[in-house]
Amino acid sequence: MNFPILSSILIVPTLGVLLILFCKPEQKTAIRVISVISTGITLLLAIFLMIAYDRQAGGYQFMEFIPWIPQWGINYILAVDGLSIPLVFLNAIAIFTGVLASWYIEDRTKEFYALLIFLATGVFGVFMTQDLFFFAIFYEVAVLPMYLLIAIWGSGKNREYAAFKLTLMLFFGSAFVMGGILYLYKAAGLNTFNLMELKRLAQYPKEVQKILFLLFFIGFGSIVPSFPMHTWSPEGHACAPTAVSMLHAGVLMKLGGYGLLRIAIPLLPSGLHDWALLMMALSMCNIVYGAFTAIAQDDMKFMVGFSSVSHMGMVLFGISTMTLTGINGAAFQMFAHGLVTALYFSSIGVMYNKTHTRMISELGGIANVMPRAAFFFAIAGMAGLGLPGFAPFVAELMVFIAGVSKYPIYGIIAVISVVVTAFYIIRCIQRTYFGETNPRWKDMKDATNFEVVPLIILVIALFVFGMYPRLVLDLMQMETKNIIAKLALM
Amino acid sequence: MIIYILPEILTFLMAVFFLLSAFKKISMETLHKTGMFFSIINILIILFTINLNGLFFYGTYKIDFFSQSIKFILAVGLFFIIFMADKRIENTIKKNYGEFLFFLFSSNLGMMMLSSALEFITLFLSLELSSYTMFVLVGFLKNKKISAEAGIKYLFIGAVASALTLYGYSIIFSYFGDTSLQAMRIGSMFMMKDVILYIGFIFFLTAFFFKLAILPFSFWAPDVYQGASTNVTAYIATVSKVAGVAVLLRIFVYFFPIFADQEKILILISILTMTFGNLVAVQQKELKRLLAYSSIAQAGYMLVGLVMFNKSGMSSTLFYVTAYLVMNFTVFLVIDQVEKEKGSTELTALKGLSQRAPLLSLSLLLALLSLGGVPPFVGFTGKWFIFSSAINKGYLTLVLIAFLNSVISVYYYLLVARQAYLFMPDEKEKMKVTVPVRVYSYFSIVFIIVMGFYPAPLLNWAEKAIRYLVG
Repeated sequence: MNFPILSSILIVPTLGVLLILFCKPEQKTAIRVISVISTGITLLLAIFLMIAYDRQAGGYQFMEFIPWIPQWGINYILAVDGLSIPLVFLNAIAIFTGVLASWYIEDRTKEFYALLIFLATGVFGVFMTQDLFFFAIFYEVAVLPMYLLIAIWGSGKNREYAAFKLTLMLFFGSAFVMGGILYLYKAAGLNTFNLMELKRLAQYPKEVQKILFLLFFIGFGSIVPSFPMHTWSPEGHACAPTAVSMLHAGVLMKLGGYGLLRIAIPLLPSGLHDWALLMMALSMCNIVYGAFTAIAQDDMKFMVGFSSVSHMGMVLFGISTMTLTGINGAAFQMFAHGLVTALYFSSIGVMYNKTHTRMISELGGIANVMPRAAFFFAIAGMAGLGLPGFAPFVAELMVFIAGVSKYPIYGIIAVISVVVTAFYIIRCIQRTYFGETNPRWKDMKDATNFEVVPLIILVIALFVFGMYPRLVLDLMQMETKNIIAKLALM
Repeated sequence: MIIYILPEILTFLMAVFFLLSAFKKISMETLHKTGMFFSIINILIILFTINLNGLFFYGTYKIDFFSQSIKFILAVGLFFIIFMADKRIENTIKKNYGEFLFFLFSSNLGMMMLSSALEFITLFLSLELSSYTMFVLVGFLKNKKISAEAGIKYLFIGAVASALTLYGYSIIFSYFGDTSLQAMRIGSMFMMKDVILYIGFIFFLTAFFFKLAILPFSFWAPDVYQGASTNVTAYIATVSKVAGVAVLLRIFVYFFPIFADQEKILILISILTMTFGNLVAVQQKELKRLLAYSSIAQAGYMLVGLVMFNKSGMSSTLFYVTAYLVMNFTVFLVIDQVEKEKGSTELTALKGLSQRAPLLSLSLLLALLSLGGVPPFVGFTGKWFIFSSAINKGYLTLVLIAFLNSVISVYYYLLVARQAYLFMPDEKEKMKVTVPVRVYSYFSIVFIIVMGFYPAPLLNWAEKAIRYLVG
């Protein structure tokens, strides 16, 4: 048997968590080092995965299969394909830079790192497992630690409220996902939770698909987050500590889109046909409403939060076009948006650690005292508003091409939202970083070399995948082609 | 034959021993150790008899893998309770420790017989044996008004429930003319069913629903949970639930054709029970009251599995109730430790527990999340099995309601965990946690995580037990 590389991606961070739990709370350096090492190893493994994946052959690779509960048709299956590898990589990079970015945390360091890495492990599991039972387990593991992470280490008076709102809304969504998964299992009548088997053999009647797709749309939609279930997201981002915002916006929100692409659409193609218009309408709300709300925000994290709502709307919009370009764009947008928001939040975090405020109105001229922090936020902003050369440009372009050809009017509205995005990002950069230096910030020190490390990693990734998107797109395309083939059959 | 019913005989002798010990001045600590020792012997003896099979006393008493497994869980539960009732227990109990153990053991004896009884009179007598001793245990803190009130309430409601059951049985008897469950099982397959018979069966269920705290008969729970000593509450909330589920399993299997007709009503009851429990629990400020409502909700989930009337539903329920014993007992153990130190069971008593006793609060957190049905913990897996068996019969709406219910329950369980994790404690010094409590905490953490992720051993055991039950 080959080296179980996928299991190692789960086990290494789990071991890290266990080691951290056995540390004394005072051994903060040891805890940090353990975290960096364990997430570093996972990052290396993820990079290896990207290189070693046989692009000629495609399909599921690195498969591990262990019968788990045979009488219920539950198996421990790990396998990755073109759709999941980029997301595994994204998660690995987000948790690694997240660990580096939370070096400053002195309060209850032990619990913080344990929970953070535990969360990332859950996300890895979601992206790698091909069994619906394990999908359900990992899916909620990825949500659960958020409550404590935000409520304990978050900032702002509202953090507990935000944490509760986030946890409950996500659990509300996952209740539908769980119900949907169980019904998938029953309606197939194959007595298996094996997703690969279901994709191959299961036939669902049209009426069943209609109901089931709605369930998954509510469930995954609330984590995407799709309008009107998006309200947890800006608030949760704003109150969360830096690393949690990074993981959260960078990766956690992708679980929704991933779930749709992995489970709902391939299994229930006619369901997508039934609900595509609704999805499109809601995604328009996301794109337009999110962008305009972002203009009104004074808190930078809130602004980025609403811009995330707007950009994740693109994912749904891309899916709702039901074309290869659109779905490719949606999948690539998930990846690109993950990198951008991680960069946004980490650069805001670097600044916030010094200034202790993120209010645009209170800041001003920060670039004069903290040129590095300003530089990285500006890069994130440029990438976020779709500047060519960075990954999001490619993704958004693909979504728009597909969108305009499928829904001309709405596609054009969506394109216009880019202008709004440019407006609030550039205005924010201008007000926060340029102009006269507010005397309050005169003595601020710039980010240290160490603090810049995670930012540099993220910028490099953004740039590489922006200049050479085929690195990821080719991978994703292998899987999206299959999805399109299923959709076309209907 | 003696060997088959050795566990019952021994439990009986142990109970008598403790009753007699009340006449001698034996120190409480000695009695505590003896109690632990006895319950361990009990566990071993049951393990020894676990594979025996037999029918005794003219077919009224059945020994098989199912009954012995239930007895094993009951004995383990009893061991937990006695180990929890250490020397820091309330003074009233401390002074009468011999009597306290007598009632515990005889109640346990009643429950053990309940899991074996195959005839109505035996069933009823053992039910009453387990209930009446519990009425006394609830009111054991004589000088506390709230405890006496709880005892009286429990007695009255319990007596009414028993009476209704007897009434229902009298109707059923008029149809079958027999008290043996086996005969009634065969009869019910061929019998013409009319409304009166159904009414009889609905009345018949009363006492069992009362024991599990299922909706129309759940109103005793909050007062009793709050009034009784925490040890007794834990006993009612965990061990007694197992016995209740076991006997309901037996009844549902034996009267399958009759209850299967009424599936919709029973499902409605289970939905109402869980929704009511969860919604009211959100409001609670007192831990034991909160757990009372949560246990009502949990009974609702268990009923879902029970009324599926198939093997998978029943084995998932057995799986769930076993896991529930560990999870719920963990919560009560932590509450008890806090109560012994602070003398309060308000939610705020848990404030800052994560700083003062990290291990205890970790086990509390995991147990609460597990109760709330959050993966990767055993509570989630149990619910998953129960709901899969429900969905296999096509009840999508029921499953959605149940999952949404567990979202509500996550809210109030987090309200409890929040106290332990989000606030700083008022006291500086660490909490003293004894070695056995530490050991138990480690055990429960491992159990909750491992069984959540790899449930196969427990599930296989539950399925085997159900195979024997169905026969």
